Amino acid sequence: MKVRIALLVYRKELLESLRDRRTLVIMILLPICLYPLIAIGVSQWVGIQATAHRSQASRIGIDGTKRDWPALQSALQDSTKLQFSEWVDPNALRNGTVDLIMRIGPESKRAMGGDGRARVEIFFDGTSAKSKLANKRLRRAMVDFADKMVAARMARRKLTPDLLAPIRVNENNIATKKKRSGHVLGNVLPVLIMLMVLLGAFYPAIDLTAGEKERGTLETLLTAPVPRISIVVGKFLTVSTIATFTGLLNLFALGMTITFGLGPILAKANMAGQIPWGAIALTAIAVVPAAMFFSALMVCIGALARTFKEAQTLLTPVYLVCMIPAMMVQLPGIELTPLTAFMPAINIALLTRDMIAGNVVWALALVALVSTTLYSFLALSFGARIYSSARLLFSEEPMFGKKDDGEDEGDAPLKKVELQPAHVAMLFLVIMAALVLFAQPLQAKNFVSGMLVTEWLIIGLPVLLLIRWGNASAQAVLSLYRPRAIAMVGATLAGVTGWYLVMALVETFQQPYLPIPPEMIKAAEKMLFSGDRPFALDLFLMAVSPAICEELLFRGALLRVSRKVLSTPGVVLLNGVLFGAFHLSVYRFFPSAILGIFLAIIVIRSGSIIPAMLFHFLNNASTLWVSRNVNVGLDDVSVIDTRLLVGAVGLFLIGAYLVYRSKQTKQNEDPEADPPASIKHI
Amino acid sequence: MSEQRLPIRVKTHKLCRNFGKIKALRSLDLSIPAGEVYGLIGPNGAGKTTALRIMAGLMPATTGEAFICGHEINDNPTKVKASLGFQTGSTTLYGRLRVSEVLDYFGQLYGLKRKTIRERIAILAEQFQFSDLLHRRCDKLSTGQKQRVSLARAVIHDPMLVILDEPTAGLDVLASRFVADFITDAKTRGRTIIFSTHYMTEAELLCDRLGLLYGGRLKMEGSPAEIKEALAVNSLEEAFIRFADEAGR
Repeated sequence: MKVRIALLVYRKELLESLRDRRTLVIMILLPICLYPLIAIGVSQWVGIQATAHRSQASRIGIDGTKRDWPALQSALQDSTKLQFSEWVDPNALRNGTVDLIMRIGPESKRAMGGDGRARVEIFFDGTSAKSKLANKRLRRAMVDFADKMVAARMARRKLTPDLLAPIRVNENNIATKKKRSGHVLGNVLPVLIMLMVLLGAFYPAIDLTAGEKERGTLETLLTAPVPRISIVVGKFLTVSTIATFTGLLNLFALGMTITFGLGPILAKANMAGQIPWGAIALTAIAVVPAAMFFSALMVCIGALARTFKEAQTLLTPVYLVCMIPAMMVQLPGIELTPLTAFMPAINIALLTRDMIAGNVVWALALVALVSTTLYSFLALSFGARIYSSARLLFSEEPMFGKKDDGEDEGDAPLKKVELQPAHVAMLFLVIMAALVLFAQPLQAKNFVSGMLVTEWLIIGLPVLLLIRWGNASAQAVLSLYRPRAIAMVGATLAGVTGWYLVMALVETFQQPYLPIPPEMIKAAEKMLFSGDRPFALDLFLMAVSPAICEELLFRGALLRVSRKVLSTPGVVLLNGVLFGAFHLSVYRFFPSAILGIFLAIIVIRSGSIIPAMLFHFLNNASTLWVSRNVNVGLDDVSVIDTRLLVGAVGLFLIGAYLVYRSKQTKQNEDPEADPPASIKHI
Repeated sequence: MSEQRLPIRVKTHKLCRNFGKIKALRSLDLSIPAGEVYGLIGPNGAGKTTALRIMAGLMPATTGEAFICGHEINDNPTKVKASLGFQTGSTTLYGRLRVSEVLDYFGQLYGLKRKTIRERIAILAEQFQFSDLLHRRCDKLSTGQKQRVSLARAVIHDPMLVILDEPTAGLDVLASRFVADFITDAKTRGRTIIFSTHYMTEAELLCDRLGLLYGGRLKMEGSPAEIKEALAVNSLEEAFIRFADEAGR
């Protein structure tokens, strides 16, 4: 990479971006004007309303007459904020004539005369601020009155009030006002900062990547004798600068707004009316890597799109997904730990929260910052790869929908709608949403029908429909080629032993840090291993169906399209991560991801999906059989036996070696090219 | 007087490019000497743009070799790009930059010194008659003005080889004339020009030699006169139609 060229591209892109009104509005105008206007407007409105309410007396309607209980009436009458009216219509509260209605029981006068207990019923409207205020005022007055009555009764009997209150609790909140406001801000600010950094990166990333392609200036730029990585870095630096500036300006604008606009409101909430500027300055440290990470991600994904519109379609889900970690900081119990410090986006959101609240653990902060920087570089290297791909740069094929009609000098007239990464990414997201919304509730209600619907209708069928819609070759997309016998033997050996190794790995590396809650294991065992179902049915539901349907999605469509944009290690890793995420449980992520990785390797090495299906089937079937016959639970580690493990490792390695050796003599490197000559069509 | 042997600026050998199963370019062999104006003609989808993009180093060939000004495109892509200027009818300028800023930017990308860039901008502004537009934003220029500035941008580093992909597409007669004048002038200064076009009159007028592409193959090559003679027609347009008919059979 040439730094001089990267800086040259950076300067030019920044100049162009700063001349773009849309960028300026999002970057400068929005933070400077929006927060003060909203905050000051809201605080003024709240202030006016609160003052108006407080200055007015609450209108209390009595369902009866004061004479029912003169002592109470005279006590309450002392409060100037309560205005009573007698014989009120029960509908007066609904039509707004009074703010509250109280009904005093007819026996109250007599009960209160002695040592009895009076009964007072209060009717108020919980959705009306005035009614709620009336309730608060009336209750306060009644509590005071009741205290006085208790004191009088105790005095008559020459008893001390301590008799009724043997313990007096004094609460002392040691958190200072500053700390309390830091805590509240720590929950709110990360969301706003992440939102603004994302917003700051969103538009420039699209403009500098897909926008440049659409305008036709990218080809012009690429004719210059400059390394493409320098171009990507220049663009990334521009987007990062804008995102950082947007984030910092937002932070500053928010600080100023809180200090000057929301001060009185915060003071009333018993919090410091000033933002902790020292903590905010520290937060700036987190804004920079966050901006770098989001910018790298957006530049790299934006580069995949052909047009501005396509980039918007691709990046909007990314934007929303990136917002989730920011919102997660508000959940109780989520802290910056050695594990979360490595999680992209979540680590920065948590770090920002801790910095504002003044609870930073610097070692973890360093891990979060370094790992985020690393992720940024990874995304950048992916972006550089896209800029080196003629297919992605000069593709005439839209990522969504059919190819435009009309004359074309692109020299690659395609009759079919080639499946693009975006198509399959959309399919994956839809399937994930369907799993959460429909599959899980269905399985909980009826496991058998739920599993059948999940595997065949939610996962398998959409893959086939997508291939049909694209008029693509199912054989090519799904790698439905006849495998070599050596691959099948290897997959069999690895399939019957792989689950055991994964179990051992989980036990060694996951359980100490992320133990599965026992109640979750019991619930899963109850649902999965019900003795009521025949083994053959369970085998079909939990081994055959996933082996076919999940393989069609992951090692078929997903693996195929990801090979268009990623290197082989990238394809394998992505497949594992997505397969892990697909299982919708943080506890199942690691074992599923390992399996996903191995299954992807099988397809790549053997050139066929069939051995992967066999492996998947045997893996699930083995787990199922052992769970039923060896009488061990999902959390039962006694099954991990050293001798068995050594044997399993041995067989697995032999299987893996056979799969490795099954690679065809002429490997299918180009995802679009014909299958290897030695692979027979089914 | 003995015939002067001119250096070969463009040499391709069995150049192929596949897009999946589609073979956009099949075994293209070209040899173009210095100072020649070479025209690539052929119907849409014939492989002209692919051939020019490979020669410009914008996309790699699937197989085969291409030497540009003595440098192999895969071995020395940077030197190849530095030695040529590439311009298409569809490439555009940075709308939010001024004309002078665009030219200065590309001058720097080509590694020119500040002084040289200033001198080149002055020369090109005079040659393409846009001196009064230097401080105007590119999105405020007319189509013809944009094409003149684009040409200047492509040759800011005064390359030995200029590759033009349909440079006159969508231009009016006056604007097209600037392109034609530029090609003529470049030829007189010993520059090699390769360009693709759909306008046969333009090709006949400007080109020393023509290459007829069809289905990714170079079907015929020669001077406009030789091609007309070979196909026994009076005009290049007729030759194109005859050739397309015969090749399509």
